[in-house]
Amino acid sequence: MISKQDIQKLSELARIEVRESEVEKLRHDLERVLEYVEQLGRAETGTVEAFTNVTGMTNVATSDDARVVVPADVAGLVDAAPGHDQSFVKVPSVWKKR
Amino acid sequence: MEKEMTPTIKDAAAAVANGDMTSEALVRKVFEMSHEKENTVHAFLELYESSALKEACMVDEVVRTGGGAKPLLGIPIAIKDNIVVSGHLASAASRMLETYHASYDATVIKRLRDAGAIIVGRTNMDEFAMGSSTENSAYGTTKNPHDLSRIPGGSSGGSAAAVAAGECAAALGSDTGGSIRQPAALCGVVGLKPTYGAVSRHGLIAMASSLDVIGPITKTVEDAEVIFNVIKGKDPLDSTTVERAVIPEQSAKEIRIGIPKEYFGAGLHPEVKQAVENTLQKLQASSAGWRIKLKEISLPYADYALPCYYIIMPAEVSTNLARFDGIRYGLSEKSDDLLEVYTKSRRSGFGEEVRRRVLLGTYILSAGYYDAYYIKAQQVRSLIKRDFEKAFEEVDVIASPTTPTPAFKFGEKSNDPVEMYLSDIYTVSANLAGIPALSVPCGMSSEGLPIGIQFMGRWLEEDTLFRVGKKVEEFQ
Repeated sequence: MISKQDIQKLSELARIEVRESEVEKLRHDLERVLEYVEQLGRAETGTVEAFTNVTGMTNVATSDDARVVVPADVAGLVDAAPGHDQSFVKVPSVWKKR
Repeated sequence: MEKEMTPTIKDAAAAVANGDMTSEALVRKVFEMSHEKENTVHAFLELYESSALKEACMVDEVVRTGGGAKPLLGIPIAIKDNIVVSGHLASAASRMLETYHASYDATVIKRLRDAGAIIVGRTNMDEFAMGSSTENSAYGTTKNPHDLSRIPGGSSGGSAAAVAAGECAAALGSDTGGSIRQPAALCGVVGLKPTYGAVSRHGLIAMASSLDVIGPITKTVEDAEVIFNVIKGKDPLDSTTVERAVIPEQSAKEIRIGIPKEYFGAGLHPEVKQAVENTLQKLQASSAGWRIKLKEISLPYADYALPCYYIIMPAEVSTNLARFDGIRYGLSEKSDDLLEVYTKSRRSGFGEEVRRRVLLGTYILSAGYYDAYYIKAQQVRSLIKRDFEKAFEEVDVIASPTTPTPAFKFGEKSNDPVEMYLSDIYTVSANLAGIPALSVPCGMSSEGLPIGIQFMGRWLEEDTLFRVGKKVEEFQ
C-alpha cells in the first residue's frame, strides 16, 4: 500500500529527512496505522456534513485597531530564533547565486 | 505506596490566607517529597525551587500585611512542559525545544498566578503530547508511583505521577485524546478534560488544535473543581473560548447516568470492568440527598472514534508542527542550504513517534487522499457528536471505564503503534465531540494498580460531573 517512493515523497513534503535505514520501518508503521483507520470506510456517512467545530460558533471579527507592541515582547520572540541579528531573524539565502 | 494525608486545596488556601499555615511550608514540603521521589519517579523535567520559594515567601508576606483570601493562595502547582511559563524553558519534552525559553505566560498560568498559586516546576510528558505512556519523552521515562516497573500513562504522565507521589498539590495537563484522564486513571488521581473551548489554549504548544484542551490533575474532585473555576473562561487571545452564561441548576433530585454498551465489550480487562460496574451499582444504591438512576444506552458510532481520531489528529499535527523549522525556535542544524536547515533540523529535533505522525498527517492531507481520509473522518466526527447529542436527551451523564487496562509495563506496547493507540479507546470520543469528561479513581486491581471510571457530560456542564465524581469518592 505504501511504497518506498511514497516515503521519499512524504519526507520531501513534510520537510523531514528520512534516512535509508529508517524507510522500511516507517513504511511498515504507516501501513499498519492506515490499515487500522481503513475501517472508517465501513461507517455509513451518507450526506452528513463534515464536522467544522464543537460549539457551533461563528467567525469572530476583532476591531481593526493598531495594537501597541512592547519592544521587550518583540525582543523575546526574536531572541528565540536560533539565528538573529538585532531585530532581524537570520536565514540562509533563499536564492542561490549562479 | 503510602497515601499522604493532605488537606484539600480549599482548606490549604484558607489556612494560608488566615495565617494558620504558610505557603513557604507547603512549598518546602512538596520539594522535600520531590527530593525523596525524583530519583525513582522522575515526574519533573525541572523544579523551580528558588523562584517558587521566593514567590511563596511573597505570598506569606502579603498575608502578614493584610492581604485577602484567594482560591489558590500559596498552593504549589506543577505544569506540563507544553504550557509556557515566562522566563522558563518549555520543551514539550522534545529535543527540538531543548533550549527554548518562553517569553510570555500562557493564559492559564496568568490565571493560576492571579489566584495565588505557586508554580513549582515543569513535568515530563510524551514528546509534543504524542503518546500514552510518557515513554516518548526525549528526557527519560516517568515511572508510575504505584509500581515503578510500569508506565504512568500519558501524555501528561509527569503531571499525574507528580500528584500521585505528593510532589505537588495539583498539576495542569493537556488532553487531546485522553492525555489527562488516562494517566490520572493509571496513577490513581483525578483528571478533568474540560469542554473544548472552556479553557484558553493561549500558551499551549499546539498538537491538534480542534481537540486540545488544558485541564487539572488533582487528588480530589473538589480540587479539580477549584482549579477549573480559576482557569476557565473567555480569553481574547483564544477565539475558540466560550463562556457559559448561566450556571446550571445543581439541585436536581435525580441524575441519570447512561451506560453505553459499546464501552464494555471486547478488550476490556475483567478487573477494570468489575471495578467500574461495582462503582455504578453503589452509585445507584446510594440514597443520600439525591438519587442516581442507571440506564443502558447505545452510542452506535463509538467503534469508529479511534480510527477517526487517528486521521484528524495526525492531519492537524502535521500542519501545527510545520512551525518547527530550525529558523524560528529551538534546534537548528547548520547548513548553507535553506531546505537542508528544515529537513535536518526536523530530523534531529523530532523523535520517532512525532516524525511518524507528521508523515502520516502529510499523507492524509495530500491530494487524492484528502477526501477519502480527512473529509470522511470529519463526517464520522459529526456522527459521533450527534450520538452524544441524542444520548444526552435521555441521560445527564455517560459513564465508562477510563482505560481498557490498568498501567502496563515499560516497553510492552512500544513495538506496535496501534497497540499503544488502543490505550485511548474510551477517551478519544470526548475530544472528538468536545464534551467534558472526568476520570475518578474507583478501585484497585489485584496487583495493586489503580483503576479509573470516566464520566462524560453535556457541553459546558462540568458541574454535573463534579457532583457525581464527589459521590464516587465517598465510597473509596
